[in-house]
Amino acid sequence: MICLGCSCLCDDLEFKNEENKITVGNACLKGFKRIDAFNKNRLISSINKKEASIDDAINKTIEILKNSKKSAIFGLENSVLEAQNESIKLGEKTGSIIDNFSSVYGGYLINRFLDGSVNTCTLDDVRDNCDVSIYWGCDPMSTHPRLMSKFSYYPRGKNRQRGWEEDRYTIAIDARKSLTANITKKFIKVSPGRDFELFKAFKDVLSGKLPKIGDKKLLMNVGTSIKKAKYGVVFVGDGLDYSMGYMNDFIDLINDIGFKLQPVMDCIGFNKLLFERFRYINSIDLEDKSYAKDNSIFNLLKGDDIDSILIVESDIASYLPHKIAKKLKDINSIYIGPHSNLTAYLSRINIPSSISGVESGGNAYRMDLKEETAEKVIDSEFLSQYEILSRIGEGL
Amino acid sequence: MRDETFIRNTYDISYVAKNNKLSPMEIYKLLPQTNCKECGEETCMAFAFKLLNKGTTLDKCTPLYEEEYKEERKELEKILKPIMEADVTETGLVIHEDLCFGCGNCVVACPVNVAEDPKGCAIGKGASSDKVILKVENGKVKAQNIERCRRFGEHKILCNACITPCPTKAIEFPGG
Amino acid sequence: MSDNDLIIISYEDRNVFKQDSPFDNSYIEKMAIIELTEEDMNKNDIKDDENILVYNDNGEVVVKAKKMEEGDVGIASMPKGPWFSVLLPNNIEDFYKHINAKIKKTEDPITTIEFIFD
Repeated sequence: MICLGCSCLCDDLEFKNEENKITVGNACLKGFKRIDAFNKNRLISSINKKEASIDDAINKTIEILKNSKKSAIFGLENSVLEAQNESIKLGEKTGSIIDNFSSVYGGYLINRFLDGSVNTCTLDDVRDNCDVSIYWGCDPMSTHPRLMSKFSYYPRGKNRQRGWEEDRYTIAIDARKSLTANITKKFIKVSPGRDFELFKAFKDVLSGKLPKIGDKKLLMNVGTSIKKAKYGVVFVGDGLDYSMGYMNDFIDLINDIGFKLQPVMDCIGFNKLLFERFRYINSIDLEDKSYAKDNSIFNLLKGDDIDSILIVESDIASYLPHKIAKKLKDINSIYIGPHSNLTAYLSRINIPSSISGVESGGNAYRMDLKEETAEKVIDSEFLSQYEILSRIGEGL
Repeated sequence: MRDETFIRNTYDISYVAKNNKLSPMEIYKLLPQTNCKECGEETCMAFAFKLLNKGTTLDKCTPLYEEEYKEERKELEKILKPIMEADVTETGLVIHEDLCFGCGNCVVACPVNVAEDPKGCAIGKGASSDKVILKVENGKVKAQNIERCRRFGEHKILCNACITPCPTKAIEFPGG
Repeated sequence: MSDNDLIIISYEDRNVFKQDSPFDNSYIEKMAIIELTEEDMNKNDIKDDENILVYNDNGEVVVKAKKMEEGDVGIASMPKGPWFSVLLPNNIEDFYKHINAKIKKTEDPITTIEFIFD
């Protein structure tokens, strides 16, 4: 089966269900928990904290959206393309603003990844060819546990037959010694928010000058490996966004050294869908298809432009400043998802859904935009996110 | 209450992780050293080896449970606890399940897995052959076919291929 | 007991899953923590597993102190989540900068989610 636990979309899971005892082969713990949690902490259908039938919760949602002056749709990062498409349809019907997690973290990089202004490749190319990989401001071992075992470090590839000790060189760059940094061949520690100094230091090293900051020997050493790289890939995550304002320098550096870019972020599939339709990846007002920074979840909840919000499987409240997250209690907030979380707790209406890729099928993009089809493996009474969204749309 | 157990578990694991040198000698020092054979072994040293490789249990040493050895028994229980709880195999391979999160780095890096499963482990996928040593199940790595491990048998070598790629030090060979 | 300025960096905890309930004890044990270097702990007379108050202009929160395996003096880390979010600024311009905060030993219990959000 295909795992939708993160944007690695592992395709080699072995699922067994014998007498209601579930065994999953090859999935990492994150992927296993997603399947195993089919009977744990499930969201309960409710209106204003009072248990209600799903029909009532959906009807109440329709009523809210009908009476709403301006609404927003947020999330769907871990959903399937069918539900994502349905959310766009719904948003067009209601003239909503549509946004996702990339407006909080990683948006600029994903945009550059999608608009073709930086070199990219597939994860299969990474496995077969990559000899130098850099993990900058990301910790795939924690967030995408099988990325390095399946693709970037440990496997034998077509042109990388001798194994990771000889054939692959890895560098972690982060503000803390992450799990990824524990196993890469080199680790460069940067002071929080000072990544841009490292761009300059690398530029110096690559043009044969001595770097002005940091461990000069280490930087020269890493610089030599980067210069010698035949097929280099830079994996980037949330950590780098702290150096906003220097993002162009970063992209220039990647292009200069001839490396490929791969963001390690989950929302990339939905971003592609939005980018193809509207040329923007988030913060879009579907009423006039326009983009504005004020349409990002951060600013929407801070301001007073929206009176209702529909959130689909995204625990945004755990990531935003708590004063902003609290706003969910003051407006008509609807949470749709398989499990309960802080966002559901703060929302006025909770609508439980099936677990995508476990209790319902659908298509999804891997982080390198390869499309996979996930199938249902466990029967359940829960409606899929697609079904919930289309029922809301029909009711309007 | 909950807090306490959580903390204690973490402590015990780090004890083993930092004391890789936990040797048969350390165990032996705490045993009665009388070679009484009560446990079924010829010597206390042999018993220590078996304990380390999980081939026997501490309660087989009945004299330890007499008042005279109370302190030693307590200490032994403390240092052996993490090993007894962990999944120890015949080669002394210990998998700390609470640290493992199934990334599969060891599965793909193990040279025996690579040789036995060229279309699976070798190219980064999960195990597709029954002959592999390491395989991830329910999010944790499990050891099987341990007689194929390079550390096993007459021509054994001190292979480290599964230990080095582990980011949480969930795999170790406490015997060295 | 002196106040002390720290830079706090956040991270994703591999042991926390999207399916966990934020009201479970195990979730709180993993998320309501701050990791400090031994030097920073000593400087503030804080021991491993003691409760400390972390505060800045944006808010204050009581979490458990944990000793960092290796790190730099003056830099602490917290898992991204409800407790860390109390310290985040309300302006998106400042949101991406690292977070500064002070710490103080306290006898108060760990701040509950209900307290933060109700």
